[in-house]
Amino acid sequence: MKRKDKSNSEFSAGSEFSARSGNKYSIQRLIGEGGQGCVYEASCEGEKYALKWYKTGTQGRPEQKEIIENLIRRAKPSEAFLWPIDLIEHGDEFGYVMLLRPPGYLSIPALLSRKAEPSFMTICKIGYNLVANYRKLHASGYSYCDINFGNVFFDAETGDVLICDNDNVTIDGMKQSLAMGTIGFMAPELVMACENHTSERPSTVTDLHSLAVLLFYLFMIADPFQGELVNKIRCYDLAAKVQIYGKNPVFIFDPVDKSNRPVKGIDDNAIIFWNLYPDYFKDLFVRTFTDGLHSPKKRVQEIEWQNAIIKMMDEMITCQNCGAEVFYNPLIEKSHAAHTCWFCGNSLCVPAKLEIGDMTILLNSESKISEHHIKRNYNMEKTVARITRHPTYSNVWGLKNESTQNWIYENSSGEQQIVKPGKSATVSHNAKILFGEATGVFRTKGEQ
Amino acid sequence: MKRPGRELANRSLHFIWMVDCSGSMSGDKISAANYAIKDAIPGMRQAAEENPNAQLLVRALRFDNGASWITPAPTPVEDFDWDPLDAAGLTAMGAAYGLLCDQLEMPPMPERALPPVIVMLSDGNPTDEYKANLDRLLKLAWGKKAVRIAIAIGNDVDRAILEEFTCNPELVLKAENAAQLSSMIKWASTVAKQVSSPVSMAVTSDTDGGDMPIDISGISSGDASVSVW
Repeated sequence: MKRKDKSNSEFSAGSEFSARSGNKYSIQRLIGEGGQGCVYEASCEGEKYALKWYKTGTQGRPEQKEIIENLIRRAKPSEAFLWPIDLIEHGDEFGYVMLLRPPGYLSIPALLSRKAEPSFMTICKIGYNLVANYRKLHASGYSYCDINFGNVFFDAETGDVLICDNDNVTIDGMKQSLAMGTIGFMAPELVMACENHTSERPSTVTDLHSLAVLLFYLFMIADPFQGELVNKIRCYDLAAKVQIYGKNPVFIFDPVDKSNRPVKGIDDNAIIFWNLYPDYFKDLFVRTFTDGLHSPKKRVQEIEWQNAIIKMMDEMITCQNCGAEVFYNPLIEKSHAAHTCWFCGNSLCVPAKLEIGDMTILLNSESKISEHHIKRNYNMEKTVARITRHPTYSNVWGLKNESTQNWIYENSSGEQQIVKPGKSATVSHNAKILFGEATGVFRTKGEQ
Repeated sequence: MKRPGRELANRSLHFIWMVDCSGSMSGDKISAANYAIKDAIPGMRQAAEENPNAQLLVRALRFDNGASWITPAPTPVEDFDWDPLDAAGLTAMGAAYGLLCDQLEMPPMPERALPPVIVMLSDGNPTDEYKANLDRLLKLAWGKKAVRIAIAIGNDVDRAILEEFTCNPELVLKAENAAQLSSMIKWASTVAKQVSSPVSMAVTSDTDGGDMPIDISGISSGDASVSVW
């Protein structure tokens, strides 16, 4: 084994290590360096992996090794996690092996600096996937402990996500975490614990605060606590951040305390995006960042975010003039007013709807019905139906059965027909589709 | 596909390299410093890309018989390149403090920013009267708030003089060889990221410092057995 320098933790290409599993990994190149250590690309039997090597000191201590050993023994919560899979030791130092992040995944900072520009639908998918995967992690009894925009990646086409840096993941409630989190994302009680040296440590409820901050960044391209109070601070140093995120956090859209409203000319994104999203979604931020700040139990749970984001994906109107995506508001339709496109100012027609129980899916030309809509199982991946156009009559729209089960189509007169997989049923006012587990009703006329 | 708005609101982070180019620096010291700074820039660019909360603006000034800006204007790190410096002359550290002060006044500094980071490299003691300009620097709002780091190269520097600049003995680093110098310059280049977040805080992190939000545990000591200057 060759080392460039025996004390500066840098390995040269070609260095070989035997891991706990007996596998041999060969270093290919350095791919990243952070405060905690270096990340290398390493190969083993023709496959490429990532190897994180800890710097000696705080992060390289034996407790960290124990955490990694434990994670390696346990199954990863889902495919989205780049989970530790092998341990390598060398003298007092150690590192762990994980899968390499596949090409094509982008960082959240790329999205925040507008180098990546996914559609609202993809933003919703990214948000949904983040929430759904952290829920799986939490359901396995773990806390992530350092959710921030630096350790998640997304595919700008599909909205798939990857969750990296899983070496802080610890069992919820055990207070084993060696990380306190990242200021700006840390729950206020953790910021204060750093300040006052108390024993508070990251947990699943502090993750829920960090997750809400991450979602706010994703959807609003803004920080939920940067408003007038931050604008009054000239030098935004750590002491200032402790004030803003720990001592006196005030949500920029706190309905009662208006002291930290976004500042025009600086915090414009917050104002612009806040006005576009539906209330049921914004209310979740309000709850987490007002009552939830000081009463951790009031923080929004992942399933609430999932329900809201599904509703947003279901209730999107595509502008018939410019193609921009607009979130549907039933109050506007009920008052017989028109939705206005935020981009071109065009008045929008609300498309036909499919109502399944309390869910409403707006039928745009690209709409899909997922298994969740029928079975309520949060399987948004599996498509069971999609909107199609009649091959001959271009003004006739249908719902194509992409499931493996027969449906029953019942027109408004009550006549029934079977819709086999691959066949489509015409979208017509008050016609029903009996999916089996659920029944859907088409509404092609607006709210009366 | 479109969404409204612009990029995330950010604050500028001024990063200033301040390099002693006196005659005693000539030879391997200046060439090692040139190499190490150039080598640190890609990492600074990457860190800046990962941190949309800050706009990292870099500048460099040199001092020898006098002092002058090598990069006159604050330059976005993606456009910042390092031209190797040569070394000859005296150690006009006081003149360098003077130039620094002029730039840390408001204006040209904005009213709102992240704490500036100033990294001074020196291998000797000032040959000019430096106290008045240093006092001025430490009285300026942005001078006071700046994270000031000094890297002492070799054994000929009076540590106390550099501590007057950093106001914190922990931020005076001593490089006894090229490996140490490289490692310290690399570490100093990451301080920009540390002062602007996001940085994960370890359990032992202490936010009490207020003005000193940086973790010096990551500096590797290099290998002291190789050529001591």
